[in-house]
Amino acid sequence: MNTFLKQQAGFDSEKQAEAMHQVMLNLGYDQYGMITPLFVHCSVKPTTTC
Amino acid sequence: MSSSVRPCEIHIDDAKIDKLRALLDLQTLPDEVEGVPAWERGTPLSEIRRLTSRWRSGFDWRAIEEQLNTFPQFYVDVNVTGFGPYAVHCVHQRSKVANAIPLLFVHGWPGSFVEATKLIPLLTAGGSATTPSFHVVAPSLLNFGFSPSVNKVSRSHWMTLASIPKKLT
Repeated sequence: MNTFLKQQAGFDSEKQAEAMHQVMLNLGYDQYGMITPLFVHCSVKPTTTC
Repeated sequence: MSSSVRPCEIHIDDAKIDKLRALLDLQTLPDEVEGVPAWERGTPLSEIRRLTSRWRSGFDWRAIEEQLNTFPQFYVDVNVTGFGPYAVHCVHQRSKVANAIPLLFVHGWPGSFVEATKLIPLLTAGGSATTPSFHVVAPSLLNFGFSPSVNKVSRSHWMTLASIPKKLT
């Protein structure tokens, strides 16, 4: 396992979404088609808490 | 289980923990201006000393590690277009309810999958007519936690994580 120390290189949200979609598919959640939008949106502003 | 999904547990090497303690021992703290109200010019030296001491001698990483390892964790192989293969770390806690709803819990910035750990027992319970139950997947996003680093730069240096759910639907 790696540590929590990571360089935050540019890796945009589309790529994160692509990776997470593949995670769900590989865990066997493809029978649902795409993922149901049961999400809570949080601001990414550093001063905002969710 | 697919061959692209491998069970895993968190285990930080003793050498890394020893190195952190050594760095804390080698700390050089600044002087402090006298007669200034606490916190007016940053964190008081006494508070830094207290936190450092706690981190050095009071904090039990192994206990935290043991608690986190009560959740079933996996590395899931993915292939991100233009970037290559990565093994994404995640908690995958299935509900006992067979037809529970799959739920992807994406942590914030800064943050980690640990944000989900208090919610997971609540989300995977339920299953009655009025209380839904969920199969929860709580990943470490790439560049975070126990997922690997991405050493390439794509379109933006700033991740807009709030837009991820939109991309998934």
